[in-house]
Amino acid sequence: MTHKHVLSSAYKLIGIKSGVIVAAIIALALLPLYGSAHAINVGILVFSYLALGQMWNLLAGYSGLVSLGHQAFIGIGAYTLAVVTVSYGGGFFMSFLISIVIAVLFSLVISFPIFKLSGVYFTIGTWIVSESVLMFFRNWRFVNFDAGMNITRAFRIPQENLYLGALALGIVSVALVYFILRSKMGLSLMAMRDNPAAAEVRGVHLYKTKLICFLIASTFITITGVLLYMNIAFVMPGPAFGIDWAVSMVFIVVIGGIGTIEGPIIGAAIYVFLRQFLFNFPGMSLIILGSIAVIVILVAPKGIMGAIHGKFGFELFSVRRKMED
Amino acid sequence: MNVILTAEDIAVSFGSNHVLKSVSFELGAGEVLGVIGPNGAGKTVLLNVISGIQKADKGKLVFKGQDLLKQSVVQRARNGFGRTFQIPRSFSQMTVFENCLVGAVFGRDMTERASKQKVREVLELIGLEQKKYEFAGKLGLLERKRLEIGMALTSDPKVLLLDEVAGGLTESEVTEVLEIVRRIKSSGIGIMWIEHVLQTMLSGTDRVMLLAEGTNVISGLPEEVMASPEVERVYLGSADNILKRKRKKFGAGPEKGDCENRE
Repeated sequence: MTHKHVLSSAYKLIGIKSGVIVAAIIALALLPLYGSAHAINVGILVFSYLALGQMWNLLAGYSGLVSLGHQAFIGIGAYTLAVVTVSYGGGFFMSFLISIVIAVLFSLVISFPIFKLSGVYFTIGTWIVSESVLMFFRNWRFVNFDAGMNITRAFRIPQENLYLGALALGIVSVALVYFILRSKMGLSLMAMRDNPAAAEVRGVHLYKTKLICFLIASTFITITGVLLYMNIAFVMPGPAFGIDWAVSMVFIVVIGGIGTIEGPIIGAAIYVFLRQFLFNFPGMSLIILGSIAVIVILVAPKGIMGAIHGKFGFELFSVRRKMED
Repeated sequence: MNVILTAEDIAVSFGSNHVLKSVSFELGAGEVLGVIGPNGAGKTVLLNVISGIQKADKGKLVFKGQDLLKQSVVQRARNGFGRTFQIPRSFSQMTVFENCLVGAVFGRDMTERASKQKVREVLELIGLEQKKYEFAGKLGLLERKRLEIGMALTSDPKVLLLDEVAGGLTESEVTEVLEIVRRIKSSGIGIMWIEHVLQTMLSGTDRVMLLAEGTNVISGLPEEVMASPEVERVYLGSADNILKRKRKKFGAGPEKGDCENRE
């Protein structure tokens, strides 16, 4: 095969991939026109969880920062929305902006102590931070203690708008992770994940790299938290800062394929559909979800997309560098 | 000799264990300085001090007129220090090409596009051009050792620190590594090389420094150093100690004082 043939085949493949992606986005964007209310609600959940999974994957799968504390940012997003709209009569746009500022500031504050930890200690450290924030909110009169707050304004948002917002968030999360990984920063993240000491000796600034990645993931999770609670419309400290969010993110990434951009897409869809299906079996749902996770880890340790990539070499969003690029 | 790196009185302790008491040396451009010494002599610790992984308790390390000990690991990498590790530390989930790209991009603070030519040259030098898209985690030992050298070279180092690059390799593989080191030396890079496979290293070094009990005992031309009784003493102990050990192991043997007359 000549060089020209290889290039033309590559362009053809890229063209097909791009076509499929664009067609899928258009079909999903038009869902409110032909889908049921239930389908739209499922869509909101799938794309919100996709954004959460994608960010957790950026942290754990591509940077080696395994966090079990990022539910704190969902709670921060939720409470910012509640306080801004209920206590101060602000709008949703204002809620998003303020939540971003709080997320960045909070990330900067906690990064200083937790970046001194590594490996499993980092994971435990993030969890402790999140539990501490939960305790703080439970005892904070301003947010009505453990009784929670009704986000009354959120009841007036049409589901279609929430769906389009979630879809946009999901798409942006995929695009953001893709472009980060294709950039110079992505190279440093992957090197840091594989061997931090070696990366530093090669000139990678570990603290700066970790901090930027942490800030991006935390901020995006906070924005997703705002959107999720625009749908839920009632916030309490327990559920908002609960470990369940972290478990969901881990499940989505592990099932779908850690360290792949496609993984959280598949993982989020499977997770939401399973949760819908298991809604009628409340006592059994966690056992079944846990069993599925264990089976997938045993059969395909790199998740569904990792197994597909290993067997067929298929990648929709490749972040591999080529000499010829 | 055009000296590019000067170490003066370097000392490192781990609690009460004084691993390096006082080490001083000079390294010239295009020179290969071999560092030998028994296990625990502090050879790797010395490389760690130079690359910044280990902090020195005291001493001076001068490179381009600046005291390196005040610089971070990243600053040293960007100022021209490349190193390999005893056990290769490649980025296992990244390809050979990407591994080298990390050094070329971050070691020189350049863009990926501007770094590709450098990576191409290094891959050719280390003989991994054909395996550039293989994952580093799937390479054999010789290839990982070559990659380790390649990753260090892509940052355009002025000083290259080699830690046991020939360890664990077969004779023919060692010859290949030796050839790579010779080619690097010819480009004017100063090389500091630690090796347990002494014969390999001696054939590729300009000078050898013997490190023992935390100090550099002797340094000079390879043949001079190897002929020195200090090497025998450091590796095997004093002649009296050798005889004592023999007596302990085999029972009766030469009496005390025999060692003085053995020549």
